[in-house]
Amino acid sequence: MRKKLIKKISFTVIAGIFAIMFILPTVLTITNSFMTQTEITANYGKIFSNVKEKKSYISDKINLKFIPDKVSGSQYSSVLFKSPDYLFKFWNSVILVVPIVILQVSFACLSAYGFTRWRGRVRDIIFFSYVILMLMPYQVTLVPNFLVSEWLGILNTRWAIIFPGMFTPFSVFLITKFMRRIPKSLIESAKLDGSSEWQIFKNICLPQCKGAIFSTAMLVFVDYWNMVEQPVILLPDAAKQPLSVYLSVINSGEIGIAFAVAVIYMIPCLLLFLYGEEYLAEGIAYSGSVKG
Amino acid sequence: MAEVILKNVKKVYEDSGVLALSDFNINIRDKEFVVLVGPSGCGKSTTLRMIAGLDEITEGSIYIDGVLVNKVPPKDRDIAMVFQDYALYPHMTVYDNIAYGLKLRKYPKRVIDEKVREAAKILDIEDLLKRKPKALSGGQRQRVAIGRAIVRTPKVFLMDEPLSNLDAKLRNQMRAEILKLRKKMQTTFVYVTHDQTEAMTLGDRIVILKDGITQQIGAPKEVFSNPANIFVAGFIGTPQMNFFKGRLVKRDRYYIATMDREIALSDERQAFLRGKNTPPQDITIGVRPEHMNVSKSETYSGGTIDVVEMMGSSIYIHFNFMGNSAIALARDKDVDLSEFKAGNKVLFDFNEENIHIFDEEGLNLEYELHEEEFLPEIDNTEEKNEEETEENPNPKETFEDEEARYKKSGEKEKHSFIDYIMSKKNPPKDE
Repeated sequence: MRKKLIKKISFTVIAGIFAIMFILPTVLTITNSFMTQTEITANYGKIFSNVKEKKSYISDKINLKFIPDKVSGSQYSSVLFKSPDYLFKFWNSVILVVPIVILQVSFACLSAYGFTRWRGRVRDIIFFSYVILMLMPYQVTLVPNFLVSEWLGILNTRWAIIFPGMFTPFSVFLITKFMRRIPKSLIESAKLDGSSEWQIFKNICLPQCKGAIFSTAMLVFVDYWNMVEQPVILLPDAAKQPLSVYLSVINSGEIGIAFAVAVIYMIPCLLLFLYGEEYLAEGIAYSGSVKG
Repeated sequence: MAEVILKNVKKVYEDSGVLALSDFNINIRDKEFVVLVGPSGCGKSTTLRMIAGLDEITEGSIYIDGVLVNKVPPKDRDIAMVFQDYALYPHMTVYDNIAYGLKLRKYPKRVIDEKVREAAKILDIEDLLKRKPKALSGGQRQRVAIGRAIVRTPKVFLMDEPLSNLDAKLRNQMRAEILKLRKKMQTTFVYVTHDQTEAMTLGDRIVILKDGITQQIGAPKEVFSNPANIFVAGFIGTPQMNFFKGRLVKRDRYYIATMDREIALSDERQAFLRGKNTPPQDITIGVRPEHMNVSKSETYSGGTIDVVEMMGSSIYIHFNFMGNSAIALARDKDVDLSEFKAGNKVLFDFNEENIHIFDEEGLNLEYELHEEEFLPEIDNTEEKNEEETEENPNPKETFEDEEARYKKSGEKEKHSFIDYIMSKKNPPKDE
């Protein structure tokens, strides 16, 4: 009994340490974003940059501090009202990621419907190749994407990122797996009711996969919201780059602003999660149609 | 309301090469309730799906209301189907589920509302219209599924094991509901089940299938009383028929020698067997449990009781006699049920008139003897034509001719499997 208790406590402590390790950076970012510039400088020193070497330096020793002496919104007012640059970058992220999410999920749903409704050797081979492609990290496809974008003449435009983003095997795979769990009898029943293929897709399959679609959309959003490599390679024009790229160079300025920007940057993902938590759970725990 | 004709229908699944249905023929009359019954994998659901257009047929033709529908898509066949798992759209309310088919057919909203409420009234689900399927019980879902089917007033109703997901009590209740519905709807029903009780209680005619081959088509009483072969005899009836090995002996008369006894056959049977010049042969005799007379009389041979199943006012006695396992039904009005206990001796007998005789191939030796007793009674006085009544049907007529004759005279249609075996055994004689 005692042994069991010790085991339980040990596991809890280890799990707790890991949880703290994961959550600490987020807590630090949020609390520090409410510090005054003076307090930030006192804790982290002054940042200065060497433009020639493109490097930033912090002058003094770092003193990690979680609770601000005085809660201040000055960092946020600087970001939102004094430095429109950050907002422009935020907007860049939005207009880059939102079309990708909408188009990727739309195409994935259509492809998934095809893979679900018409099974056969050729389609299974195509689906298998999708899975193989999915196992490839996108860094591998970055060079081919660069070459194709250049050939299409869309390099340094947003389309260089949106086009490859529209067709991603991961979403197709995920939604197909969900769609294949819809009982065949539902589709057949819709057919007998007089539905066309489009009506079966729109009226029967899509509502059934709502959870899966939202889960996929969330994952795609988070993935592309945090992208760095693709814009750096395919969108060299700094004015068009998203905030994710800009965050890596923001430290060359005031570190307090970096905290505020990071928090603002987190908000869309957070809101999306809070809004879609139920769908996400439903998507994961999808149990198909009703059974008697 | 329509008749459904299946002619030489064959189904082979392309991917696996499995023969699901072979040379299936039936003419389902307008407003008739036909039940397809058989064990798993016998091809009954495949047949239904082919009528619905959900599966393509490999060979043959299907006609609905006189129209060849082989290439007609399901939505244009004017049929409705109730699935085993009900197939209700989980994201729609009961109202929307029932109305969906009508909406797609662009009925005016007012008409849709009227029809949905009328169907709901028939099925007593008016107070469930705003609920989603997940908030319904099994029986309620079943009603909604039926509601969705009847609201379109289709020509043919197809039902694929609609009661198999319900518990025994609800199943009995829904069976009665389906019978009532059938009376109200006055349309053609094709019903699939593996439950022979359902088949017997619901169907005007029953089609018994095994391994994709039709074993017998007939009225419930016919398939029960005059099974075409040993499979049908064993499949129809609960508990199943007892089978004993024996031999048909021919001396001055025909006798059956089985176990420790010899049974003299009736004059009618003698005449029939003599007429067919049936040779002495090894046979299997079949006796239903309710036709086994159990008693304590020492004059009868006896077996050892294995199990006794109490059914209330009656018991099923499972016993073993000379290597044969058998079941007998004993009723408390006939015998003292307390005398039958596991391990005790049971004495049994059966009347000659209640036995069925099957040859070595498993075919009922006397199938044709009783066949005429079960011919359907159809009033065809108006349609009779003098010329036609005088003419004998041509034995080499085409299927179309046969169909036409069948429609006019109400003659019993051919049973592919039985006819095939019978025609091999008794080739038509040239006159």
